[in-house]
Amino acid sequence: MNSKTISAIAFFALLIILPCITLFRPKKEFSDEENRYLAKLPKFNATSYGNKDFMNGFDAYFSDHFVSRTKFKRLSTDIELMLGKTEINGVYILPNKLIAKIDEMKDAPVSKSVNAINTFSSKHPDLNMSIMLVPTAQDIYAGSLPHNSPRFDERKFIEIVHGGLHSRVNTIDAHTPLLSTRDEYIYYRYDHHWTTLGAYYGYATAAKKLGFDPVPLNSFDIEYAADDFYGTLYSKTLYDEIEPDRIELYHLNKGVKIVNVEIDTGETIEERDSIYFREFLSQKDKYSVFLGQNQPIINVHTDNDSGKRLLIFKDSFAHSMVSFLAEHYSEITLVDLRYINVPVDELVDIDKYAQAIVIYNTSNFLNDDNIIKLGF
Amino acid sequence: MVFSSLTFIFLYLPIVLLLYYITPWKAKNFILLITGLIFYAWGEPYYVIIMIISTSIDYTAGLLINKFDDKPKIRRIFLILSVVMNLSLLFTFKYSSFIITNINSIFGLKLFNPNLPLPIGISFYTFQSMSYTIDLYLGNIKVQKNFTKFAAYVTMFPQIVAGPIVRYEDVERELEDRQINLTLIGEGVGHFVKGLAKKVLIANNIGMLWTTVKAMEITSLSTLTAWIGILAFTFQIYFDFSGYSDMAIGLGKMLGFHFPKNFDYPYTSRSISEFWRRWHMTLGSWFRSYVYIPLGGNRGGMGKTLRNLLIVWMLTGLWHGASWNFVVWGLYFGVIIILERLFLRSILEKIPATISTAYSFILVVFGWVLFETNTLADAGRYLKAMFGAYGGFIDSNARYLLTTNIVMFAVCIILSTRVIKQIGDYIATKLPALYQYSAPVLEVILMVICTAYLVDSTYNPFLYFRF
Repeated sequence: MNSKTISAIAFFALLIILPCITLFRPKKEFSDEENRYLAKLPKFNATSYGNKDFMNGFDAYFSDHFVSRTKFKRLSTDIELMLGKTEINGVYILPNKLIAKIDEMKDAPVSKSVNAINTFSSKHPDLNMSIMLVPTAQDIYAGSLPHNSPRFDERKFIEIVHGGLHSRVNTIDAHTPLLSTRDEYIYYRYDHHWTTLGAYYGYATAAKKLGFDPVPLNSFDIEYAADDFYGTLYSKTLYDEIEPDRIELYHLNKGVKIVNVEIDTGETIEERDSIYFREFLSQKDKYSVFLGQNQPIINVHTDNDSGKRLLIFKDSFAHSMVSFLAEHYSEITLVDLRYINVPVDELVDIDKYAQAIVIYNTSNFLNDDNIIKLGF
Repeated sequence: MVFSSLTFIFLYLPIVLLLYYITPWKAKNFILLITGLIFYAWGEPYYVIIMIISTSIDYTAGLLINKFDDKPKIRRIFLILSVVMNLSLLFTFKYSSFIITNINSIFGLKLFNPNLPLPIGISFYTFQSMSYTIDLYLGNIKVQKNFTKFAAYVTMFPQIVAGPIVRYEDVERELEDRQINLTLIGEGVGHFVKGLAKKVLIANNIGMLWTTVKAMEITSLSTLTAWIGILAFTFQIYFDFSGYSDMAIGLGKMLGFHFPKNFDYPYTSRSISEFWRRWHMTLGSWFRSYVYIPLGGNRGGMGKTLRNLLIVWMLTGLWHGASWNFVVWGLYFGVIIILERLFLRSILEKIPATISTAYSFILVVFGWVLFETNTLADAGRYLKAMFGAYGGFIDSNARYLLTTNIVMFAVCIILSTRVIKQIGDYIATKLPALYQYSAPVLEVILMVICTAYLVDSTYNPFLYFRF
């Protein structure tokens, strides 16, 4: 048998075996590894033919369910690394952690967001308003990034944002405490979020501006709720050579009790009795143990009898801070501006709240065009 | 549909090949026609009709040219009809917006600009169709009375979307009578895998660098960044386009056809004239046969030769796209080629090969700046950036892009030359068995790696899709 015949046979073997396995094996709906829903088989009809929804959908379906998809994806990551690439799918791969690259969009809506916050603050002059922008690992660990890689100066960005805000808005510096504690476990290795410890330092620095003393760190009992957390940055790269993350839950022995947590999904209102959604601990997206995934409005009621209420405009970084903030408020309301479509006043009775705080990580604040909704 | 996709490689191809191989000879061309239409319709659900209409008109024109064999004036009418019809299609779908925009700005009018989306491959299949009617008129080929066979020639999936531009005379014999055997299929596999690897592993990879640089403000680029960027594109377009041609040639062999070569190490050229004999060879030869030579070629004195050259190069540029950048790009090469003909060639032959190769390569790179930027103004700015007008010589961007892509650049440079082929030829003579039997092993490895990259492909462009 000459070598060309072997080529032909080997090629056809690949072209028959791989698709057969792909088509005939049972299909998963959700990919834990990649943390997303997998494409469904599209319907074929005149419309989906004409607008190519069928063709594009089919390409996506075939690719999403392709046999050994995750192994193949991991192979491409390995080869990229072998070629000397240090960044895969927007994630820097360092020896001991993964760091998300920040994409600075052209025409970022930052000044509009700042104006919206100012507008909101002036519409509610009795509301004590604060803002805390949390730097991402990209900045805190800028020194460890691959040589010469583009860096986004988040300290400078935070200063620019603070400079544009009205003096009525209290600015909280999260950068300094996080930078000074960067040798501690304050950011996840496989996820773009800060750890509970990082959230604690954020809480501690916010405390002063919010008007109370932070609970000392050593008062907490730490529960190690999971030690095999592979987060968002893992999903993008499937790189797993670093020690997995652990999820820590900080409990205060004689702290407040959570009376009730209401989740307003926009369609229904769910009720729970804890800020920890423990079902996520057995799934891939373990960070969601902190108040679940992003929902329009979440209300946390505690047995703190001060009557003080806090309104938080946030992204997911605020979720792990709530266990600390809960000590000081009777009610905390978290509003996710991405999921609301009407002015905030129509959903929430702002006069009930003594204080409001905007908590975002810098990357989200930079690129999110939903913060302007505060100005409506 | 795109060759470098999982759907094509692992669904369309095995099904179509299986069907094709088990179908009796009488029906194989019909299978080619139907599967070609499906392939095309997958990317152009509506415009597939245009291709069917164009094919039908050229088929009919062919019959009529043949019928009125003894009436030269009448048969010429049908030739003109075919050429006009094909060119009108191109005009309407490819050039109408360009023409209208220019008319509007020159005459201050506000004519309606339909902005029609470009049907994939229209520049390829109209040129292929026209080669049939023109060659038939000239008596170079025989008429094809069987519609299936003619339509199969135009629509068959390997070269419909991105070439090579296969003339009817290239496949005339094989349409009627061709061989299919495992050895030929194996050769086809070799071409296909090589092309796939060029596209997925090299072109897509180095192309990401160009995408990054292209997104930056031109006036913020350091010299080195500007050079690194356009060099990345230089390699991207070569490996992308030649990879696609390799895949087409390989697929042709799997079907029993021998398609012409389209690239021959163009970046090793020692003159621009030579470059265009090695780059997109089927296009150059199409323009030579059907435009340059009918216009008189280089007979008729220097004046006519220069005129003919300028016309051909303007058309070559224009074929690539409906914008002034492409016209200037074509004329840029036309002028250089004229200069080479007039006196540069003798100089180039005398100087060391390294210098003439560098000369050609650098001129080609400048050409790509014209080709890739959106407006002539941007091209000018980019060229200025390459000479240090904006940033310094080097900045942190340049360092980062260079250090993270140095291996890729080295691979691109080596694979642009014949070095690997020469090493392979040497091994073939010393250790023939090893050389031969390592091919299937390499092919399987490359297929696995390419599949890995395709599975995760969010970035998988095809550059010559604009044509």
